[in-house]
Order: sequence, then C-alpha cells, then structure tokens
Amino acid sequence: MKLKSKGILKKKSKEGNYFLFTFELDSPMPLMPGQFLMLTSDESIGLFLPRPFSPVYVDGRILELLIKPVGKMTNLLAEYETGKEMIFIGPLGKTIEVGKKGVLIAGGIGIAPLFFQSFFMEGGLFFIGGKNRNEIYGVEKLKSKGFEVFVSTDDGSIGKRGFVTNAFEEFLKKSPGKLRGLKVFSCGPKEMLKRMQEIGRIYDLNLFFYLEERMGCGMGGCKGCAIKTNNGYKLVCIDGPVFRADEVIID
Amino acid sequence: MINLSISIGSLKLKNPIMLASGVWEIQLSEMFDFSILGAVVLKGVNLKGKIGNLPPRIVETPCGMLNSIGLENPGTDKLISNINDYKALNVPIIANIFGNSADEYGEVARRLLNYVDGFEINISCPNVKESGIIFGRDPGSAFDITKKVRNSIGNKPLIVKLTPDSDKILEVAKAAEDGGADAISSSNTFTGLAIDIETFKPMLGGLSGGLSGPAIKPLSIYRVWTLSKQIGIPIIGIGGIISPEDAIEYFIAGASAVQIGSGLFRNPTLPVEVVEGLIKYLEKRHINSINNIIGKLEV
Repeated sequence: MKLKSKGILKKKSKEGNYFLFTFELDSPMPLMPGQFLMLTSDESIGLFLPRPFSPVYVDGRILELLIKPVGKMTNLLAEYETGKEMIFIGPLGKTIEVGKKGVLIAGGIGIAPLFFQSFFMEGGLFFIGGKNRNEIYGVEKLKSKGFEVFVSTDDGSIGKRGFVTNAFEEFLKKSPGKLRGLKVFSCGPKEMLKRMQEIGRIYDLNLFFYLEERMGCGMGGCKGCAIKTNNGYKLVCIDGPVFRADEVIID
Repeated sequence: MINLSISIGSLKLKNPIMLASGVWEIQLSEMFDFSILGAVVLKGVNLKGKIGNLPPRIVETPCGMLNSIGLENPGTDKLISNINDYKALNVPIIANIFGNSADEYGEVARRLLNYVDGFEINISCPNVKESGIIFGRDPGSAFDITKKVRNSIGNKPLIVKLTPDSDKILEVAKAAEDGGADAISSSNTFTGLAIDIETFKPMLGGLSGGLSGPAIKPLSIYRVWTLSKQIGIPIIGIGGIISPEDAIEYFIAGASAVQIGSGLFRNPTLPVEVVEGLIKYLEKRHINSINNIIGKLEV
C-alpha cells in the first residue's frame, strides 16, 4: 500500500562527495529491493515536482538516503539541517527477485539502490566505481555483510585506476563461468550502462539495470518517465525502475 | 449539512472536485478513497491508441512543469477491457476522448457509451500534430466534433475541454455550447518551450510542451471568469490547484467544478485536502451551498 508520510531529518553526515541523510518517518514505509520513493517539501513550491530517490537503508520508521548534490533539489537538500521536515511518497515501483547471491556493479551515486539491495542478499561480488575516493561509499559495510568488494576510481585515488566496467570485465576474463547462474545488477551513468550492456551481451550475463528518468507522479498516471525499450516505450515508475539490460535502448 | 452537489448535464456530482485527465491511474487509489470525489476523468483515448512522444517527456519549470506526453494510450477497445478496474473506484467516470476527425471522436464515444458516466472531448492537446489543439482553435471544428459526439451519446453528460492558446476561446466555447456540450473545461495546458543552454536543444523530446502547475493558475482563473460571463453552461476550472484555497478562487471566478491536475504529483492526497478544506471554508462562513460562492466575484 502506498502512503504519504512526513519525515524529520535526524542526522546528516558528509560521505565524501555525498551526503547521508537519516530521516525518521511518521509511518513506516516498507520499501523492498528495486523500489523507490518520492521526496518533496511543503516550502519548495518553486521545485514543483517531487523527486524520485532510492533508499540506501530502511528499518521501520528510519529511512536513509545517499545523495549527491547535482541539481536543484539535491543542492537544496545538502543545505538542510537536522529537524527539517520533508514529505515522502511510496513505496513506488516494482520490487525484484534479488537472489541469495549476486553481482552488483555501481557507478558513482548508483551505489545507493544497490547498497539497499545488498541488505536482502547473503553476499556476492560488489564492484564499486567513482571519479575518485570521495565517490566510493560503503566498502567496509559491504565486506562485513559477506560481499567481495572491488573498488576502482578514474584517478586511482583508491582501488584500481580506471572505470568500474574495466575492472568488471577483467574479472570476467580471468574467471569465466564464475558468474554462472547469478543475476547481475547495475546502476550508474548512461555511458557506463551502455558499456555494461555490451559486456552483458559478450559474456551472456543475466543482467539488470536500475534506471531513472524525470518523473511526475511516480504511479503510472502521467506517463512522463517513458524510456525506449525493444517492446516500445515503458515507464520507469511502474514497469521498473529495474529492467532487463537486453530490453532497454540507451541513447 | 452543506450542499456541495453540482450538475453537469444529466450527471449529478456529490461535490465539485474532480481528477483531471492524464495525471492519475488506478495506482493512485491506494493513496485515498476515490469515492470522496465528485468524478474522475480518464486518460485521453482515441480509437487505435498512441505510443506517445519521444522522451524526455517532462521537465520542471518555475512553479510548474512542461509535459509532452503525446496522448499515450492503449486505444478504445483496450480501455473497455480494463473498464471494471475504473468502475471499482466507486466514483463517476468520465472518458476523455480525441481523434483525427469528427467521425473518430463520434466512434470512440459510441463504443464507450455504455461503460462511462460522461465524456470530455479533448480538442486542446498541445503535444500532438494531427489532432487536438487544431480543432480547439477553430469554432467550426469544435462545433462539428461536439455535435458528432452528442449524436453518439444521447443525453449523456458532455464536456468540451478547451485550449487556452487561442484568440478564439470564446467563439470555440460558444460553438461547443451550440453543438450540445453540457459544460466547458477551462482549460488544457499552455504551450511552452524550455531549452538546455548547454546543448542548445529543447528540454523535451517533443520540442514544445504543455505548461501546468501554479505558474498558470492566474491565467486560467482569468479565462474562467471571462468565459463564465459569456456562456450559459457550467465551467470546470483547471490549472495550478495545489490547495483548497486555489479551488475556492476558481469557484468565486465562476467555475462550477474544478479538476485537480499535476498538483497531485507532489501531493497525492491533495483531492482529500481540497474536499475537506472546501467544507471547512464554507462551514466557517455559514455558507450552506457551494452555489452561493460560484461566480460571486465582486467587481
């Protein structure tokens, strides 16, 4: 059941280039892997549309969001102090079967939904990439949850130098067949997903993407968040946000 | 007990709060009980359906948003096959219909006749080339389409949804009235353009889009006010409602009902708040009927 709930910002911490926000909601929002929520505030009428966010952690009324200030709403959020009240709408989107073990590949802030997904798994491989060390989040926590973690950065400031897709492909070359039977989930910038799509094709992976698109209602009503797929337009909000990689057309 | 009921042709609504076309789907009914509403208008439908416009389809603009959805819909027969889902909402349902010709409008209406409680003719979509707004700028077409649909549906309630982007709004409204409309929806979105200054490209895949949200509220209220003095059928006000007070402004301007549109996105329980807020407003002033504020602007 979808609901609208107020939430108070309880804690805000800087995590490299990101902010980790801990909200306490009036009503628990039982988000499942793959799902998202919409965030808005009463005062921000200048920002007319709510914004879709993946949770990074949910426990009862506690909700954590990992946010990179890039646009109007995220920059506004970055300035908010504890005690600030926001409005949350959710859970939205389809939940997914994650499997006990799997492979997760995150680029930049794309870590957020995958980190959340990891709470529903027993372990697996987790490839994390970013521009530099300030864009690598959650490595120790993921290790303690039983994931083998591979870090890469564009500038080599932590982990392997280069794109996360390079690190992943190297792994595939070294250990062909190790991923057999495992689902692979990826979230990141479009260029990265394009490369992932190629890798998925070459190595015949069971590959899924978390996608985003500018969104209106989040509930299939406005048809605003359409993406191109091999089966025509689909809506990120109700057909996704997780899609089969071989289904989507990335421009 | 406050009387909130209003009539659109033969349809009596328990209150004047409606959901606009193209902003909601069944999923929204998880957020609140639709039976508190006067009526809901379904997503626009034509005979064969449309795949919609190239993404990106929406972009935020100051106090509003531009959309270029392109009337994505599965077609009339598919809507009919799903109609029980809408009927289960326990609220009068109004089909929003469009087509390439007066004949198509008439045919869509004929097929839907036994499945819906009323019709809203869309002659005002700014985001499709071959139908929609062209008709809404031409009184002759507006008359022909309205009459054709009227002939298809007998005495079922018939609303015509206008475009605000025309220098012939009044003529088109009158043509709709003459063609047999029971009410006018005023109005659809305003055509607008947003540009990405980095790429020099439009922000929307469909180039221009329709502007909605609080940015257009005063423009739309002004149109409702001017139209209400000139035509004899009820007007349904649409545009930028995000609070009960916004709806009340529309009533005072001359709207007999209002539709809530993109304000739903930031607040999916807005319709409940508008119904409750309207009742509170009237109670506080000891006004016992919505009719006592409709068109009561003092000038």
